[in-house]
Amino acid sequence: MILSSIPGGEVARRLRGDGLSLRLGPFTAAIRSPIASVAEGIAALYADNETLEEPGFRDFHLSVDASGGLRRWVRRQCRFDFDGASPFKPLPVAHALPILEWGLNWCIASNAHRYLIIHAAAIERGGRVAILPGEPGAGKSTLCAGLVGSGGWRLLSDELSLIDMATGRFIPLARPISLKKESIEIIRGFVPDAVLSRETHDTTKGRVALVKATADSVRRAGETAAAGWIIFPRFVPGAPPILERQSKAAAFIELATNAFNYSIHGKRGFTVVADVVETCECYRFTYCSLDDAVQVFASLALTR
Amino acid sequence: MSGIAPGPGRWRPAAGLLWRSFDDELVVYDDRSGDTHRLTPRSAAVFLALQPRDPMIETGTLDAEVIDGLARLGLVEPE
Repeated sequence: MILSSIPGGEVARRLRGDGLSLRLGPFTAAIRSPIASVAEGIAALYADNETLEEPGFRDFHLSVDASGGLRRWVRRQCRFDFDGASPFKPLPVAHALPILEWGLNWCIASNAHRYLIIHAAAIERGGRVAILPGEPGAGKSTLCAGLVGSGGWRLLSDELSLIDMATGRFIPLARPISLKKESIEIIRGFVPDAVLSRETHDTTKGRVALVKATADSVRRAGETAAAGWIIFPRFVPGAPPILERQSKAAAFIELATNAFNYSIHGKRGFTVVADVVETCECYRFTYCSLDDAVQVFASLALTR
Repeated sequence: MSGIAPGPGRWRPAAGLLWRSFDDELVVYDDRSGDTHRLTPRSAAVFLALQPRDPMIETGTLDAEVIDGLARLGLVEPE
């Protein structure tokens, strides 16, 4: 069953009760929360995801609960729990939806070691993946949202790129894209039909909003893809689009540095990263305008 | 592997290394330390010259400064 076929009231009821189970790429998660903004956000952002109606194994059991005691009345807080433990300190209840998303990222990055997990966006076109690693503020998520929303690329992941350790192929994990500050307005303008969550203010990352993954990206969650490009984006106000070749050895080091569990995999991790880099063209991409970026990436896609 | 003084003699690649060539650079993984190193073309050439497929050679014929650097990284060791 697809989540959008379940009435909103029922989604909220399940979240308040035994939990709502969703398929998220290769993972399953049971989510509980009595908080209205979480129910509203999940119903909107995961509308195209499959729900699991039968009891059974779930990879992750998550909850975002409102704190008790005095915090029920004064500066209400919420707490993220994973398998009964609270890995993070409580935060304002208004942050509940992004906390759920960031908490889920943390669960995957900390536990899903059957994959090599790279802190990077990954998008696909023509069967090839463009891997977009980037430090916070580099414009990775904005570029990803623009290319997926208006550039003809499929979203594999915004934050956590999963590489199958056995095949070296990229595993789709199409979840909401997290935007910060001005990027929210940029994407509202560039992708008018994008579905965005309500904005959350004053988080540790500033003002944030989440963009729903496209229906096509969610529907094709079973289609893995091979690496094609490694592109390090950098948003520079006023800059013309510049695509510069990057040394593969340098790209290797940056990719490995951005991998959450490279060291856990040891020699095998090295070999998987090396195989990915070997098959990729590597670039640095400076951009300001998403229109320019769409053109540059379209030209790139024609080269493979 | 710091503390190895470079000097004349024979050198060999350290055990437990994996490497991959990318153009004229090299990326080397050291399974003992878990470290990954990027070698410049100059260092890569020396490192590759020390591989077992070539007979052990006198390091005097190689770049001593590079040998020193590779030894400090633990990527080569004295025979």
